[in-house]
Amino acid sequence: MDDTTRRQITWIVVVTFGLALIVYAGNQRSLVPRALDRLSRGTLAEQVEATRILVARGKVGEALKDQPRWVQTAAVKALLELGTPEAIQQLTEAVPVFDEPVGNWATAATVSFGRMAIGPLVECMQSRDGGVRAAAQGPLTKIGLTPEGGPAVIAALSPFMGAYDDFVRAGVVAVLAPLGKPAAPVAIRTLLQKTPGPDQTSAAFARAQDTAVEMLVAMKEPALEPIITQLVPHQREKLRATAALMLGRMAGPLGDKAGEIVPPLLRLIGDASWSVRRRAAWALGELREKGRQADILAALTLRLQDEPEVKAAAVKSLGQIASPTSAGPLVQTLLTNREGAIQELVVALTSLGPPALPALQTALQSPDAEAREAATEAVAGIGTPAAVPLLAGRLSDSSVSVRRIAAQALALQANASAVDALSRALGDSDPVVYGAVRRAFVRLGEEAVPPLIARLGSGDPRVALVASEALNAIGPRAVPALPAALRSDNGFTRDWAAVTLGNLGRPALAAVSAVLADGSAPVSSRAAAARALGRSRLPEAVAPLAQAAGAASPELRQEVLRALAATRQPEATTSLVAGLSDPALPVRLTALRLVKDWQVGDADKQLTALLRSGDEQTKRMAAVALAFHASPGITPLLGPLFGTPAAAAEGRAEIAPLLNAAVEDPAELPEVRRLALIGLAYGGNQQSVDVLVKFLTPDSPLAGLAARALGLLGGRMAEQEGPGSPLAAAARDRLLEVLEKTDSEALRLQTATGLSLVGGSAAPALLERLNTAPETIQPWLAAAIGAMGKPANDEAMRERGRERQSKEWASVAIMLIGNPESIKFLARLPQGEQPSAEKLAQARALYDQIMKVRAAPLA
Amino acid sequence: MSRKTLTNLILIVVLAGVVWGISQAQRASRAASLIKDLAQPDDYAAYRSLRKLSGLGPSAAARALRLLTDPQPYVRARAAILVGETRNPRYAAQVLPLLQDEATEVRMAAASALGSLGSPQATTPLLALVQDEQQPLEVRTAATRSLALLAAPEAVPALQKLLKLPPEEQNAPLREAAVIALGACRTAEAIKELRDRLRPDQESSVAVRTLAAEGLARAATPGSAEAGEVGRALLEALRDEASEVRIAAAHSLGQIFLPQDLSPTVTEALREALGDPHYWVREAAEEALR
Repeated sequence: MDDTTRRQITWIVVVTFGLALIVYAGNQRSLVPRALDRLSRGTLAEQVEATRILVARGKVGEALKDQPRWVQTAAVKALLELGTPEAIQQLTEAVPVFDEPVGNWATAATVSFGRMAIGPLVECMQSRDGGVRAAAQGPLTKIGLTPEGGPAVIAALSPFMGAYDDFVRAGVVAVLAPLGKPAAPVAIRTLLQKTPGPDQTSAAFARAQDTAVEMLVAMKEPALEPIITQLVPHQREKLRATAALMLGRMAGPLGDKAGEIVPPLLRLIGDASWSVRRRAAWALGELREKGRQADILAALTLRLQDEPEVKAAAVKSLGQIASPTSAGPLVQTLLTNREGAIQELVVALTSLGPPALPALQTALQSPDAEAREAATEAVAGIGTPAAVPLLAGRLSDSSVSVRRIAAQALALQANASAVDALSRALGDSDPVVYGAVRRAFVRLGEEAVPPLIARLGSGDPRVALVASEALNAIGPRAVPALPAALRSDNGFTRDWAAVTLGNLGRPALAAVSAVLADGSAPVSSRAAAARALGRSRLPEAVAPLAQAAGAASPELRQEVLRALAATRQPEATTSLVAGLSDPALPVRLTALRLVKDWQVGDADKQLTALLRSGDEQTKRMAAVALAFHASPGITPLLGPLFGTPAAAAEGRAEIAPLLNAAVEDPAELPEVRRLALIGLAYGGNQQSVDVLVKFLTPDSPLAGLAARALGLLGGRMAEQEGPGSPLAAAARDRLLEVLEKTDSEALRLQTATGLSLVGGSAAPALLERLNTAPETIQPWLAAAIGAMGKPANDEAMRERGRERQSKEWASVAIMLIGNPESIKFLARLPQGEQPSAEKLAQARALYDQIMKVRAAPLA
Repeated sequence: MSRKTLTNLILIVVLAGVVWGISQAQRASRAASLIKDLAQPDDYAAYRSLRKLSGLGPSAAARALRLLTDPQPYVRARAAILVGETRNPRYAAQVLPLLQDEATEVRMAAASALGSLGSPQATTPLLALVQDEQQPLEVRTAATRSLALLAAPEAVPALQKLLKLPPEEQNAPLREAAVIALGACRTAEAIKELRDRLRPDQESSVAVRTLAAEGLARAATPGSAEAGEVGRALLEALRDEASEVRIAAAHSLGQIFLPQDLSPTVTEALREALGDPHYWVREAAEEALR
């Protein structure tokens, strides 16, 4: 054969092979669609053939997913016709993908295959799909209920009792339990087995035993006979305990037949083993009210003297049976033998309900706090009206735990009978107790209002606060009785009534306004009403307060002004500003104190108008208020939002002379003078420097304020007019002069503080002065420069660079300023160029004093 | 072709033959082992072996023939199932005696297997089994299903008789199998019975009415007068109160070749069905109209 022929043959073989592969793959891919088409349109034979193909490839479920109903119906029909075990398995596995009617039909039809379906259905029982498992269980049970199918189903499923998967074991129980008697021996045999089988792990053995228990319990009546005859009398303690457990679990499901479990359980409760007795005691409790039989109650009561575990089970069961006759023995156990069963006793006594109360009353008087605590808990759990007086009595118990339980129970159950005790308990020292008492009062509602109002005047702020909170929580229902409290002779009552009414807000507004407007009422009552309105912070509270601002009593007017300020409403501004013109000086002063911090509404506009229209003192007060409004703490923040305050604009020219005059006038009220002096810091002028300097004497009580005001004035001017501001220079020079000349250390501290407040603009002059100043002054100057902070850093660094006397002190100032880079720079210098530790310590001590003074508020 | 090439080809063929032979021997050995497992009493364990044997092909299944006479009934039943899966009519003669087996499960498995084997000679014995009222319902159901696969016209009277059984729950699988078998028979009597079974006054079981509607789709000769009758019956079923029946009727109307005169009526009825409250009725009508 030549090469060409060989190559051609090779190509033919390769191409043929490739084509065959393509045809095969295409055929395989179209198998499922073709099968579905045949199911939809084919004859019965074609449909059966189509399903045969799907079954052979294990694709029944996958192919039928989301298929039309008629395809599903045809598939089920064909699978039933096919009738092989494999077809039955795949039919069951496809049930979850079928529409419900088709799925139901498929499940029902599977039963008709009888024993042939057992293998496939058991296979489906192990599926991870819950739908498949459910689809297998029903038919398996039905097949198992037939005479031929029963033993076969039991034999097929028994090996799965120890299966690892919970759902498989649950399925075994679900299928075998309904089979009843025929399946019981398998479960009993499993329980009787002592050790794992040859091919069984110990874990699988334990699981199989658990499954056996579940199966027998689910089996109910058919399981009774084998349990009673084979397990109850068994010599193995574990089996007797398991029997007791199963009988107890069957008590409820057995219904009317539950009486059958009593004799074996009464036998087991007298067992030699405590674990069997415990289970039997527990099981008898599962009979609930059916257990109200003398023999059962006697057997359980006897066990109250048993081991703690048995006793706890007996107590629990007596509670579940809830016979009134058990109250006495249970309370006796609580008092004398509660070890290991205290919670069970509480639950049991609670379950007995009101019949247990007489017996519990005895326990509540016990000298033993733990017994009282448990008894109180039981009474609380009973929760009937008859329990309330008992709980109220425990509010005065010496044990805080008892009081807590009682109070917390009353918070949910209180009635009128508990009011007095609750009222006393408001004074309890324990927060949990008085918190719960507060809730109890809230629960009582209107009934609680009079005692709560009475406690407002107790004189104990904590008691009054809790009573007030309770009244607030009661809400509008508390309003009608509260205004009378405003008229009380007891000041505490009035004050706390005002707090309460204020917190109640709008619902109390009319009643409180009426007290305020009542001219015949004592001033103290009307003042309390005013405080209530102020506390409410309501816009509607301003009108009655403004009206009362014209009252005859200055004390009331003062209170009204305070209340108006407390409302924080812009509408209050007019009345507050008008207070500055009040004929009574104390009222004016109150108004000044309030207005200087009041920047709500058009306060500045009204104050500026007052600069031109009031008497001299009123003008001065208005000027003070405006100066305060211009303080740097406010202006930088509010200025951009509300515009420049009047003091900084049109009123400046008028404010400074008024402030100067007020400060210099010895006849002026000391507080007005003091505030005016502070005001100069924000609203002063050139003349103010001389005014302030006059106070810089060692004997002046205002020296400190004057020095700081002068410093601030200078600093503000340097900021506004630049470092060359003449006013700033004047302030600096005057402060420097006093610092150098005075012998008073206190005055030196004040002036040094003032110098530090002038700021960075004063630094060059102070650094220059370091060259000539006496040794005693140099530390002060260095400390003042240090207190100026970062703005003085560059000047100090420059000064340090010059070869002058001040070099070392400049370095000290730099250390005090604390700029990290500058300090790093100094640290790198030779030792000789570093500031001496002595000088640094001396200046730092002064620096600390200056910073302390600066931190104190001016006003 | 050179000698060398020829030698190589022969070598390849010989090697392939050896490989095939070894695999066949292994399969035979495995089949023999699995056949032994069929004898265990646990149905689930036996089913697992059964599945594996089925996977080994018809020759492995044929090994079960000797178990058809096993003393254990469950072994005979499993063997019958396995033989049925060969689908080889030649084995019918060996399975047929099992229809007389004393064990119900064996008779049932044999009846089922004979349908799969597809041997016409099984029709008469299966019919006898269907008609034997002493037989358990599962056996009669299995025999009826096999008759459906054999599509034997002579079974029609017996199937009609089965449909006369009371429509109780235990009879449901047998009656359903009977109506399916009638659909496969396609004789005039079968079609008439199916038409009757479509009527709710004649047939109370929704499943039977549904299967009757489904079976009628391919029962009548296309375009014949008989097809017209079927069409009219299906039109009536389109108004059945059970949605399952309406779905099957709509779908069958789409499959059947109706006489010309009936087409407009059917089209109109299917269009009406497009407004049916049940989703699948609307879908079936839409597909039928397409």
